[in-house]
Amino acid sequence: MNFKVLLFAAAGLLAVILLFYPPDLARKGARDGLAGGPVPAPSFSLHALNGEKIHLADFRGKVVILDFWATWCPPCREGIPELNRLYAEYRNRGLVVIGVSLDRGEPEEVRRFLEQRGAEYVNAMGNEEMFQAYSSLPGLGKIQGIPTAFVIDREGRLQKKFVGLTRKQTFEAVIKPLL
Amino acid sequence: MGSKKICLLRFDFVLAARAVVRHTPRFLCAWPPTEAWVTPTFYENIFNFP
Repeated sequence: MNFKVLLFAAAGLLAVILLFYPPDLARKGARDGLAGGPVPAPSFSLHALNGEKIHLADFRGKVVILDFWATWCPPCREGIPELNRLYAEYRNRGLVVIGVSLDRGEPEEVRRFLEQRGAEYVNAMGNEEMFQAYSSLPGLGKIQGIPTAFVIDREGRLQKKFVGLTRKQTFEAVIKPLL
Repeated sequence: MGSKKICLLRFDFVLAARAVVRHTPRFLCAWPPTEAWVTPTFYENIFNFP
């Protein structure tokens, strides 16, 4: 009898902990984490799928959306048309969208995948160094899921972190004042 | 903030339990573990953010 009571009490306690425990992903600070103001975006050097090498410094003076994604991620795939529309509408005002694929397969497979999906913006294969750099930003928390997107302003500062599938209008609210 | 669709990059028992308690998992992320250089994700779900 006492054992059953203890068991129920333990189960109840566990349920309460699970419901209210605030992991990084759900913590407000980990979502955008820029209450202390913008921080410099970590520099990176990546191989774009069109064969070029791209560096963050190349885009100084532009507003950059850096989108971490993968081909096996359904919400990432759902986000491609959103980013496409965003890029088409704002590219002339200085918006650059860079998709960073976390796939480990051949870049050619990713390139074909994007071609089938009609992605118009720049895409590159990510690497662990870059992933770790964007995963250890003070106040922003780790990248715990994808898609995760960062908005970088014209001065190369991180302005916003979006976790999960983000719609065009949500991006717009952040990028419009920056453009 | 509303709901978000996301693929987790690592398994987290707490997140998984919260997801099950608060929402119904929609579908698994179709990941081939050998092709993900980050710790592979286990499921796709919808989380409510504060």
